[in-house]
Amino acid sequence: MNWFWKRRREAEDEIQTHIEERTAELIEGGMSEKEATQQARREFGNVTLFTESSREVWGWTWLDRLVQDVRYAVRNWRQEPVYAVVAVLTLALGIGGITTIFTVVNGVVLRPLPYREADRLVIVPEAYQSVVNGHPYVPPPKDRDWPTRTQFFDGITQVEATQLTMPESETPVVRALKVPPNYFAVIGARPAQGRDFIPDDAVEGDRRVAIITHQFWQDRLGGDPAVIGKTITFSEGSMTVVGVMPERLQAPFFESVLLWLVVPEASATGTHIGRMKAGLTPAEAQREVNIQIKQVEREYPASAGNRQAISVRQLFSADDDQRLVLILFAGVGLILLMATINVANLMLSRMLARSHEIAIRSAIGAGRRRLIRQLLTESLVLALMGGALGFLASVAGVRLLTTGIPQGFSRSQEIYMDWKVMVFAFLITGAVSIGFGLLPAILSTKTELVSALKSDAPQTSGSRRSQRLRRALVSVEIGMATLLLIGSALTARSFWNLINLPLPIDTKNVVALDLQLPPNRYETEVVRTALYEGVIQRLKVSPNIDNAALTDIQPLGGGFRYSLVSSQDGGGNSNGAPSYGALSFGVTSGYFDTLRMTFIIGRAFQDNERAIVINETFAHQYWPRSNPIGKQIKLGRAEDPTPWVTIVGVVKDERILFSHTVMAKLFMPCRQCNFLLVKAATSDAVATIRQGIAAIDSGILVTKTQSMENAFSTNGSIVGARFRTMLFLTFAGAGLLLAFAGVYGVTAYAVSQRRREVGIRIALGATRRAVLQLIMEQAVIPIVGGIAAGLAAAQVLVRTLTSYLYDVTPTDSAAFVFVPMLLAMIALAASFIPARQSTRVDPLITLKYE
Amino acid sequence: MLTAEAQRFTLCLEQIGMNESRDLFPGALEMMILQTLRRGPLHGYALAQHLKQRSGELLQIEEGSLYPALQRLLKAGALKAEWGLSSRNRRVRIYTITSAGRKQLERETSAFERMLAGIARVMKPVRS
Repeated sequence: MNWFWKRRREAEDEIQTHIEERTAELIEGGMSEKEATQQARREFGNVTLFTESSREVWGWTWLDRLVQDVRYAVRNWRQEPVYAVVAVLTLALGIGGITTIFTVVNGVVLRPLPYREADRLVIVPEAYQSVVNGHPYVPPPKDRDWPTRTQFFDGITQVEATQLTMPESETPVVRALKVPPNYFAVIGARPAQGRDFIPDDAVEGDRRVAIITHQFWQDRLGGDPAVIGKTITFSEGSMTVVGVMPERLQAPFFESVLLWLVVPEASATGTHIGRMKAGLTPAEAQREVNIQIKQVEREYPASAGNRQAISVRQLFSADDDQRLVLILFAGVGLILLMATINVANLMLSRMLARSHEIAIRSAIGAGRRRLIRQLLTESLVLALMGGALGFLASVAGVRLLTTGIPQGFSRSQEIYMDWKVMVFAFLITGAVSIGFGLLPAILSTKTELVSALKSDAPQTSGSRRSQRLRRALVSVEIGMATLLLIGSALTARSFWNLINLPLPIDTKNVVALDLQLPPNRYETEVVRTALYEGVIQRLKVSPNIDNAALTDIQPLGGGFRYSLVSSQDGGGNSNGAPSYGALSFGVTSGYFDTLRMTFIIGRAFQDNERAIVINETFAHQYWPRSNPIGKQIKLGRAEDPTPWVTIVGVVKDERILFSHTVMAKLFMPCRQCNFLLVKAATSDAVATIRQGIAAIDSGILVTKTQSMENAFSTNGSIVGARFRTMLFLTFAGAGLLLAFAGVYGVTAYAVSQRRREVGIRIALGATRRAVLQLIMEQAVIPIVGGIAAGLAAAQVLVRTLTSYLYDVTPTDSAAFVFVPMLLAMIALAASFIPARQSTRVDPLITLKYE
Repeated sequence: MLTAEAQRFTLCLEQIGMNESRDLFPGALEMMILQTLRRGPLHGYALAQHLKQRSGELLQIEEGSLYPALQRLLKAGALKAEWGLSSRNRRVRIYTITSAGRKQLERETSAFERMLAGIARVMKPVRS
């Protein structure tokens, strides 16, 4: 760049020297200095022109012009700083607002899956007659080699939940997964530190290796930098850490898992997870599986009796997220649009005021393109400043929002301004500047030269035309503000509804406890059942405790049991599997009340009833159009000796927002339940619970207690209420602020342009009141017109958007009433205040101004 | 008929919108500059004086138009420039022709002569 400036000066110097030499010569010849200089210049020709031409040869004119334009723009802003400041702030608000929302959504809400091509992952649970015998049935390995026969999987792996105990720890239970060495390769994830499993790792015996989650590393190992190679001692044996998974990675379905253990592939058991070949759909995969199964059954008829069906299910589905993103971006887009229009209006108003000056520049030779380029440069610089400010604001905004996130949910690094966000902000800035700069630039340079010079002299408010134009601008601004504000209101409401879906279960003051029964005392089922009933009864009468229940699988992320279900209806699921599959949970009757689960229809079962409760997904999947209450289903195949049970209730899905998987679930009366759930009235009921249990049998160990509320947070699946509120407020707040600022700005500016007219009228004898009245009367029409147009447009807009809006009807009158009212009030205030201001000022001062 | 160079010069001139002296066809100025500098390096002002003298006041050249032309030649590599001192001890830029410049001059000269010959033929009175 220095080189550039040097070249400029060189060209100037050279020419200067030339003229000086000639001048000197002429002086020597007898001319006076003044005459000599003039003569030399005349002989030379147009100095400026030739200087520029010389410079142009080297092709840097665009830079020259740019610098010129920027200087010009800055000079302009200094004349009217308010306009520039308002424009920059508006842009900052718009750009900052959406950058904030985008960052947060990107990092927290969307939680993009950390697996490579996650849509190709399927889970293939096999259902066996596990429930009847009470123990899971595991067929011999060779019966399970059907996956190797198929050609539609790029890779197959297995996963089985297990548990380790860490002695001397507050929370000794460490949930883990047993996987074969190819697990991570199939899943499509790689450790952030250390290495993946290798086949050599998978040996039985003392030397076991493990890969841990980021959370485990931070929480239990204190983020030890020398974690790789470290040995951790468990009651079951010691493990050497060979890898640490990246921060965002959580095992699908097993969200509270902290550790992966490797087992040899040959002896691996557990549920299959596969990666389909690219381009396959689960339905196609299902058909293939069915074919292969038939073949296996033919070869190994012994297990055929036991194996039921295998269904292929996509591991992750993202429908709800997509809708959420759509809504969010629609709302955010509206905000930005509003900001852009505000600034465009502002610029247009301003350029109207400058039309005099633009006309003059045109007269002395600036081509139209040059003028437009200059105006665009001004827009660009405004946009850049607004964008930079907005970016900074969004950094602060993001930090503010993240303080609202519950502990342990998200480390601060989860939400970060990554390069994608910056690129996004930059692009937006560019688009916005062109958006708000182009139209005013084109329009204002259309000014006809003569009329502009004649009539837009600063003495009056401007020609009829520019007055009309200004009024039109006010109308347009209010109209757009109405439209956009209503749109934003509805979008925001929709968003709010979506993220505020009440949790179908209530985890407040719910404590989960693992019970370990003393050996030798409760061998038979009858005794055990009696014990559990006693515990529950005892606890229910304790003060402070509302209800208690037992379950055989911990409600959130403890693992799952997949069972085959048959129905008397006989239909199949959507993938064409011959029977249904669902996650099955054994619970006592009090379970539903303990967790305050919401029944959509029906009721909970009694303890000895032969009944079953299913969840919403189950009902929708298999009986999309009829009422499932009263239908009979059974576990296992239709011809199995398991009893038919009646569906008595349907509960709302335990749908955790932003988690990716919902499966059909059923709840049946408990067989062997070791997990106690207690709903207490206060948060410190653990002591009471322990006492209650000890009173029944002091030999029962309570091995783990966990507050369910905390479980949710560490699960990371719930977004805190405060966070949601703040997100919503940012959203809505930005929109409101922009609308108000825009309407106020444009209206006030239009009125203030009539300052001189007011001064003249007063000077000519009109009363202040009369003038004020006049201005207000004239201001009302564009306001009303704009609002009317805006409402009409909003009606149309909403009708088209109804399908996307969640839970909001187009006739939500609240928005349609409040928004116009608010905007009208603001616009009237914006007209009144400057008008009153100008009537107050001594007309002499007004007339002298400018 | 015009050389590539001349065509480029023409384009250049049109872009600048400059109306060079009506006596010159595009490229003529550059040609004459090169010819003058062939005899030895000169600075801008001296070059202007030379051209004025040699053309015997027959050509009207705005002195200033030399400078863009010099820059163009500089950019094209036909000249190189150095800073030095004038006879009056002022800091000036001295231009020297390069070998590429010499070649260019040859090309331009022969093109020009061909053009002259062509025009002369057209203008010659027809033998009766």
